[in-house]
Amino acid sequence: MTAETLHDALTLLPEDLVAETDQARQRPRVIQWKRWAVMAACAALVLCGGRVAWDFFTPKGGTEAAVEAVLQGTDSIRMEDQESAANAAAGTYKTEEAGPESPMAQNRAPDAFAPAEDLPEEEAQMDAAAQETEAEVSTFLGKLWKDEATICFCPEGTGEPLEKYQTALLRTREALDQQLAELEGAYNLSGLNLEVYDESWFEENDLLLVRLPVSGWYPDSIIPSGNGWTLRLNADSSWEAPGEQWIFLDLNPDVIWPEDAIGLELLP
Amino acid sequence: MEDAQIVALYWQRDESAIRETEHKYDQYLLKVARNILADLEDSRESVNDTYLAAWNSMPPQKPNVLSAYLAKLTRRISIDLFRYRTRQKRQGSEYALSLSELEDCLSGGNSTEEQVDAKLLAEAIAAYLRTLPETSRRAFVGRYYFLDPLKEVAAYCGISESNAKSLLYRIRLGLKDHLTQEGYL
Repeated sequence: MTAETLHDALTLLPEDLVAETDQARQRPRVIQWKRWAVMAACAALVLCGGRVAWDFFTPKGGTEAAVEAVLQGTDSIRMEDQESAANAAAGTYKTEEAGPESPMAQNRAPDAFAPAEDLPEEEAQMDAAAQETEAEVSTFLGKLWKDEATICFCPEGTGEPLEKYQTALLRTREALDQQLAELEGAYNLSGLNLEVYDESWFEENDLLLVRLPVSGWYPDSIIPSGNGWTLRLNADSSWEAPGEQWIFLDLNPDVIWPEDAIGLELLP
Repeated sequence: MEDAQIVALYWQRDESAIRETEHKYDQYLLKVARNILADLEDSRESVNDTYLAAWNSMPPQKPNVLSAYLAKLTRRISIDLFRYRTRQKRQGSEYALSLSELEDCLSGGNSTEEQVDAKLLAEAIAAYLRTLPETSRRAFVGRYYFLDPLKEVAAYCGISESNAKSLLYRIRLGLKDHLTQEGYL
């Protein structure tokens, strides 16, 4: 008996056995989605953890300040170039430093960039404290790398970023609308239901937009979820439609991620 | 359109049956063919032959699960095409040529006896697969019937690639024992 004989026999397998496997084959691939998203999930967890820590220790402050607070506690490697490090650390939320190719360039919340003299005295003091924090952040390079509008991870001790994901932190409904206006040319936004993200929602939460490399998806991998669409990614390298997609991540610590992440369908 | 309606169209000899089949299953069948042939042009040819085979076989066939039936046709046609193409590539070798010539001394592989043997072997394999847990069964059928890459098999079985590899190895050993007991080996 040869392997070919076996293959010929397999062709004659009963339909019920074949159909059973076929059903499983055509289901969306949650595992693959998790695999591709795990790095971004870790980033979201770090940000959420930072926010929780910040909320615990201070009465006010945005997500970026929380991240700074988390980063402040990490002192593993000293960056050689203090100035560029401070820029890199602060640049995540600075519109003017985002690269020209970045669609994130215009979407920052106005309060993140308001000049210190325009702020009330208390806020101005906080802003000065934040500046101090940014300077201290220069000692950080252990786990999270921030470079303009991207975040990525560095293995501790190497200082070299492994994966870099473009991000945007949306802190107001206006910023979200602006972001959607930028994306609508390339992505199908018709299925999004973002009503929940109103101004009051943004008072308590931020929304993180992460651009993930995606090798492709199957037609049924964009599925409607409770609040828009859930994008289930797969890692099939043979797929012929590679690209990068934007994923909305709800930074509310109560939200279980990535099941509730909202993916955007790329227009053909 | 529902599968039963498409099958009914075949039985009515309505040519729109082929259009409906193509509309619903073209990509699916193309993937089955590509897993075997690894060539888009050959796969397209194989899928087109599948439509013809479906047209010629229904009636009398009335499949309960149309996708599985069509996949079976595509699989058989694609494997035949693969063997034909492989034989063509070997034409330069005198040894391969002699093998090809000596095949004339043997039956064409479609004798009734061989078909019955294949059917019995398939039943023995199916009997063994039914003794396995669902995940193992899916992994085996996915890998050796649909010829999906190991990575995909692992994904839809919900296990890691290395687990899938060792699982398939154990299944193959078990199948060998089973076929030995049944007198096939």
